[in-house]
Amino acid sequence: MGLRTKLILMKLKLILFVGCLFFASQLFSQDENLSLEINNQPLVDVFKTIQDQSGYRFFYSDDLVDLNKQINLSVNNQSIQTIVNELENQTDLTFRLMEDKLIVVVPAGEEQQSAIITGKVSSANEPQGLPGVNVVIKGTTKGVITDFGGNYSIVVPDKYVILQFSFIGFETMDIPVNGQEIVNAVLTENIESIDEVVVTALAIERNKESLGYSISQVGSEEIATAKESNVMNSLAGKVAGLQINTTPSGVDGSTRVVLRGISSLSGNNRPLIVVDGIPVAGGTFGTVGTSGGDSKDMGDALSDINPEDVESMSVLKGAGASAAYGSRGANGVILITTKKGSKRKGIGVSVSSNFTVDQPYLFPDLQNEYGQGAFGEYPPDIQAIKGTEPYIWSWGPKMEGQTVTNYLGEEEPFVPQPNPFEEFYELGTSAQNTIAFEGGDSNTNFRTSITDQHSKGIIENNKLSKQTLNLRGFTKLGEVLEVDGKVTYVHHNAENRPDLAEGVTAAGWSFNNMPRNISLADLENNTVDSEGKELWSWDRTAGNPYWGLENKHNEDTRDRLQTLLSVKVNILENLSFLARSGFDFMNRTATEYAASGSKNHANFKGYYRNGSENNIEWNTDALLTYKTQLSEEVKIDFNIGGNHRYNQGKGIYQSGENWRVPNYYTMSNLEDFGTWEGFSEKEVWSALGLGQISWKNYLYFDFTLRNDWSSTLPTKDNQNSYFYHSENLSFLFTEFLNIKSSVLTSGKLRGSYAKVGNDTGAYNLNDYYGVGQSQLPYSTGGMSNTLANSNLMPENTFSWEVGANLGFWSNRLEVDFTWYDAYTINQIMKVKTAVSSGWSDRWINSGELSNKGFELQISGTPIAKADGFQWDVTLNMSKNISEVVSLYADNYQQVDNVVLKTSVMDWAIVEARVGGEFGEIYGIDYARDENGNILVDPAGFGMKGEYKKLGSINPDFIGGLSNNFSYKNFNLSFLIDFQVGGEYYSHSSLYRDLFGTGVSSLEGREEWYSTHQGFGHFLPIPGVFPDGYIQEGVNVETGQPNDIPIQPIFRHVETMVNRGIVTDYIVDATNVRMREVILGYTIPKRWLDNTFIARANLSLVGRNLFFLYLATDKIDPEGGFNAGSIGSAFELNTMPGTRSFGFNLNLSF
Amino acid sequence: MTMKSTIYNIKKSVVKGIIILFSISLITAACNERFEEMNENPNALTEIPDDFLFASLVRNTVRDNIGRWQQDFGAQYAHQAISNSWQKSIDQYLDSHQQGDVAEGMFSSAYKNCIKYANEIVALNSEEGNINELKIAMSKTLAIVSFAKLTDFFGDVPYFEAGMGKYDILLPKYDEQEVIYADMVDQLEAFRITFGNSDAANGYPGQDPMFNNDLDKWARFANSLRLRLAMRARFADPGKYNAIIADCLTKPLIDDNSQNASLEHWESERGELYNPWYNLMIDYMADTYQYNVSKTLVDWLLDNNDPRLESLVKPNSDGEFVGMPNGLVDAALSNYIRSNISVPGDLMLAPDQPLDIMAASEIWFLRAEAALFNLGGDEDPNEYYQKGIEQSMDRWKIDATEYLSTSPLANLTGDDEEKFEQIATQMWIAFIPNHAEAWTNIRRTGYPEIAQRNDPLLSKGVTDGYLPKRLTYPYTVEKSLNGDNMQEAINRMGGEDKIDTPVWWDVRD
Repeated sequence: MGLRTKLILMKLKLILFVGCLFFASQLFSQDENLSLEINNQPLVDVFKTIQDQSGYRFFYSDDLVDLNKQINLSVNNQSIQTIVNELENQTDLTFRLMEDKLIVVVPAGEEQQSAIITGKVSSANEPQGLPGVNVVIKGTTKGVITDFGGNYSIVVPDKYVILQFSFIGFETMDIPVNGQEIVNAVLTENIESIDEVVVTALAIERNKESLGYSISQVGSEEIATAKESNVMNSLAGKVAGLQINTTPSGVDGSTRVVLRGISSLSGNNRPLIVVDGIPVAGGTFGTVGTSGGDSKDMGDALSDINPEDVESMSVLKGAGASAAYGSRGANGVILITTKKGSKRKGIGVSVSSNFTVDQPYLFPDLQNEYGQGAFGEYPPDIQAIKGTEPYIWSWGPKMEGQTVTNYLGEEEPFVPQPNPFEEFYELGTSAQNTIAFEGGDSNTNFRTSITDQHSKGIIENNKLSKQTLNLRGFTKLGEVLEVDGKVTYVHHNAENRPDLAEGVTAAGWSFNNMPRNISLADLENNTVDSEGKELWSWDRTAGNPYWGLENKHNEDTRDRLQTLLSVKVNILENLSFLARSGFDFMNRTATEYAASGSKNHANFKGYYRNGSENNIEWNTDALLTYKTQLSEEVKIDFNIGGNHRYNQGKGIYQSGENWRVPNYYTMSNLEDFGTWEGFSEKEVWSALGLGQISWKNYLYFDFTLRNDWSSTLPTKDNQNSYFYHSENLSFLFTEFLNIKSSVLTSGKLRGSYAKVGNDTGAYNLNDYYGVGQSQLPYSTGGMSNTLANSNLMPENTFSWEVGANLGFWSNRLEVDFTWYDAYTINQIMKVKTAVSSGWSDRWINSGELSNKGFELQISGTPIAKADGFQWDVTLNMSKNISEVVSLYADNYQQVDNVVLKTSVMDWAIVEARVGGEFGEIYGIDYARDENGNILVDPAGFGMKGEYKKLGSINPDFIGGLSNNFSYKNFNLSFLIDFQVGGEYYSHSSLYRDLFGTGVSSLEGREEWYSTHQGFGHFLPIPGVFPDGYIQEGVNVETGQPNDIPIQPIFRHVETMVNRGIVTDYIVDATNVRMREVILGYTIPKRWLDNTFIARANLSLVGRNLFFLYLATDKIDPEGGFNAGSIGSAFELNTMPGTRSFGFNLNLSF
Repeated sequence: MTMKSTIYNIKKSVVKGIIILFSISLITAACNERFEEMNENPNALTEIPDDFLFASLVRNTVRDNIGRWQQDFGAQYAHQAISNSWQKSIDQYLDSHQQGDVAEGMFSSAYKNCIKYANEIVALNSEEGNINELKIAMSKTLAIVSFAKLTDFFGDVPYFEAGMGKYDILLPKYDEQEVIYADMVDQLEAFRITFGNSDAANGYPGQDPMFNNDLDKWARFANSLRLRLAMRARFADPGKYNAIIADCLTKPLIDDNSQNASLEHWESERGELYNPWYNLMIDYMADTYQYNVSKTLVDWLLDNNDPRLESLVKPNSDGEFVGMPNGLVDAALSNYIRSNISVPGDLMLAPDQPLDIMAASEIWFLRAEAALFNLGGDEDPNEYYQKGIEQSMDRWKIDATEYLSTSPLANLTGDDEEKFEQIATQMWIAFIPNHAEAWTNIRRTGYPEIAQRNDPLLSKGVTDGYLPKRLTYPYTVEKSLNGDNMQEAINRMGGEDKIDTPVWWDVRD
């Protein structure tokens, strides 16, 4: 019997074993009698027959037992003892009945020397025992498998053999018996071997070794323990090359996801999200701008993926990995595999409870010395107190308890108030409970789960409620047909998402700029004046947040249904056909209203907005798979198929203003309203072929061919058809060279090349007109300001990557390195046009963006002790170098810079410039001399210099360091992630300085006011040497260091408002953050023996706990204005950064 | 199996795959029709009745030109108002980055919302066999309103190639102001003739918010606009434009306010229905005082006992009419509490107040000026001057009879220059709230005289305290994309894009 056959038998045994236990243990008792009628059959068949009927397993060494011995046996309702006695008579063998229905067969006479060893196999995570572990006598093929309790017993020829314990996912362990009779083993998990099988494009499971491109997989444990409501956030710091930013924006905020840099100037740069082979919507809802208005973050579609249902997430980076997904895979693909039920005894029930508290903790430093006013003076009259610039700023007199009249007309002491951020924001909470049922046998399995989540934000009325119902089933109908199906329903309801940016009721924005003597209690108790108008709302700055809490409301719902039906037909042993169809249907509604009474809300009239939309993405694909072994060395897998994608969106939106009757919020109660409708659809047909050719066990070649036909591109000249392909090579050189080193365990080199095409959105090819919806006595019409282009071509991304994966000391240390280089050309983008052409934008194909960089992951197990103590550590790091190779050039224009985003007042501008990086931050710098000193004008102000690059949104490198310690039932892990380099524009700091609320606005105040007099402190006090804020720099006329004092309020007004100098507010985003700490405890099984609980695990979890290093104080560098490509460029500090603590309890029954 | 045969087999498979892919491509090629159908936008129209666009063109021409936000330059340069602190650099005669925002807004709305629409209507009415000269004339007359404002503000601007992006003219050339003026006055005469010859039924009955399709009014408007432009250009090229002025004076002009080029508004809380200046009143209701009346204006009205005072200026909470000086430096701004300073009068900000892009008073004053300088007609300039005052006051619902019988300003006095100053100063008042025209008229006539700023409390800006003579070109996209053409224009105008460069017609000192 060859080794291979032996292994197959072993596997078969495992299956039988499990199968038998599942059924047999319930059907048969120990005393069950058997009836057998055997005529001249080999002994081995007799064993099988008995095993099939009774569940008794025969254990023997085929070197010693003649299995072909012909047996005749006729028994009727006899006990097993009787039967084996008869067998002993017919052979020269001894049969020994062991416990657990094990029958040991040895040659007669040899049993005296042999011994029986028993023991228990467990692991750190499964201390109650590991079932199914192979226990083999080393050097032989004799072996047994552990039972459900992890127990085994094995007959050994003598007590001095070595037992080898092996199990998929664990390090193989050798233990010398050394004369003992009980040998227990604690296996250690082998992370690498868990990863060995990864899910790749089109949900094809592949051996990781054979892949020519970089892939990262994160398992369910990592996702579900430290739960984030957005599953993407769990990947932060864990995957090399993946940048995740979460904007503080209320519960269920959206997440910025960028993989290997930004590749498209104007398009969507988010990776494609594929769940169980079906692409799902992954975009964001609600776009937050940089300026005012009612901009809200309405979350993103990814947050509907329930972390509890996720089995694993694979991050396919680069085009090579994702070419099979077509155009949308160009930015990488995140493949999510949800849990299926597993083969098990009875029905498995598991319950998971998660409770976290979000604590706001990053508050800006505010000064506590000077209160409302300007030029050191309190506002002169009530109008000025209520809202006249600059008297609504904090440039007034010192707050020394003197009596002043406040904006309510009441007298009160002039004293600093506590930091309003600390006062206003409260603890957020989130509770999530899941119950899941699963079961299965060798042909069928299913899993269903229900998750309920309730969260409350750090603003009291901001709430989220979400329910997810998931049902997944798989069945094998005979040998030919396999059916896999899934239905997921998500209901999602969010209330009172906060206004962000300079939104008129964005609380943080008010607090950022509000005079330091204004008390929150006054704001809260006086939201309206006697006429019902909002109190303490001022032009250009913000309103009263409490007015918003009382008078505004918004609510949005998402109902989402995701389905999958997949049928696989195994036509021949090596030929199968898969048909798969699934859709992601989403209905969204959003309503919002504001009561009348606020200038900022439709000019005192109040408003109501109400919209709903339906979106569906439906994918259907068919795949014919042929696997063949051409020769001893060559294996081929070939897949050919097609895909059809259909997207449709339709919506209706109503909006109106001017309430007839107060506090009755329906559309019919409005004086004015209008309705808008929208519809859009597109489809893409694809033909694809992919295959793998392997040479022996060390060389693998993969290719993907795909052609798409898109409805959004011109049909003329087949411009709507585009072909792309990828080629990947994996070479296991340690296998090739047959290296059997104890140091270098495994080594692989890989390379990949890909070209991926992309289309555009619907309706960009033709010009359209709109009809004005108005109450005018005549009809109006509108023309678009974007010029359509009927000649658009598909855009293309080309990429290549090379990498190496090395394992040392039995993979105790592993190093994975990738270098990639990708560029995108012919980008379909909406570009600005010279407005004198009559149009402000047009669609064109142009531009080339390049992204190259490296990713490095080092993982190891520095300590793994026999007593179970283990320390695993993983470090990942990546650097992406982005370059704008060209922007656009055609007959009309050659452009070498494109403005991507401007901040309010154009202070900071994000640009793409040829030769530069994508997302450089530009602004006006101070004028400087050749040594870089700031030039100061004779009035004492820093002079306006060039408009130039002041920073970049791109970090120098990012990474994460995770550590995991396990000992017996305890598990402690922590994840540190870091970003080095990169800048952002801190709009909130600029405003704190301008309005005098920030600590740095104190510079020079005391000095000026104590040396100047008169109303507004404009005149120097005679005989006193004037002092004030002195701009560091060189006097432009004298060349000497500047010594001219200026009144500090003017410093900011002059340099920022009048001259637009922004240099001081482009700040370093470098940070090292304690992203995650988890302390887990698995309750020992013996404590649960008398309960119905099979397994219990409790984890304490902390996320975003603190910064080990933060270049800029008190601002979360992730707090960009939105989750778009360049969302991290501007910080408006509307919501403080939060950290969360919680626990997670998992029970299975 | 040998390596060779293995490779052969692989090749065979790949070839097979490609063949299959190719055959699928043939099948889907048949889907093109389906694709095209799918990619037709159901939300919007591929064709639109041109009268819809025309009504929008009229509205945009009026509201985008003389709405409140478009007036930050004009109102402050004309010394009639002080805008909010974010626009104060304009008032301080600075040409910083900030200034570009309003300039960009004006520049782009003229091309995007007015000129482009006019071109589209012209195209829709120029199809062979279906040419409608009347509609073309109406649209192009309105386009000239925008072009005139653009060139008066910036100097050389895109004209002949403007708003033609649809016809692949993405980088329009900048044309010389002199050439633009010459073309505009020629065109207007042609349009006037068209209005005279056409059947009104071919126009826009029910869809003309300005003249209600009254071709007599259109003809008067075209001729009055031509007169305005010719008067503006008369100092730069008297030979050409004095003749045009004389010609205009022989033809019907806007004689009274019922013939004004005007857009009606309604008493409503709905933005599209009310006078855009009503937004200021909403600000004041919110105790936000970011727009105040200029001291120059208030003092003039007070000094001359002008009955328009209460329409144009609202007393402060103490019942006083107080103006704020223009051009204060930052430090001096602190001496003024905006809420104590007068704001525009309730009538000017009333929701139902119509907006005029051209009113009878201006035309009477131009006629007075023409008569004064013997440019045509032989009537008494004083009579025309009084007509102008009468029409201006009538617009603010004031009967001028008493004023004209008692005010020392009721009659032109002194030498011709003094009389001219009187006429120009009255025009300055009459233009409100079309402040931009008031500023342009100061540049043209020199009246009212805005002195060089020498007070240390006033900002001298980049013009050494002199009133700016043009606007710098918009800062952002136009400059970066159409920079070559813009630079050509800048070179023609002296090589630098400055606010103290006079435009072509601005030759009178």
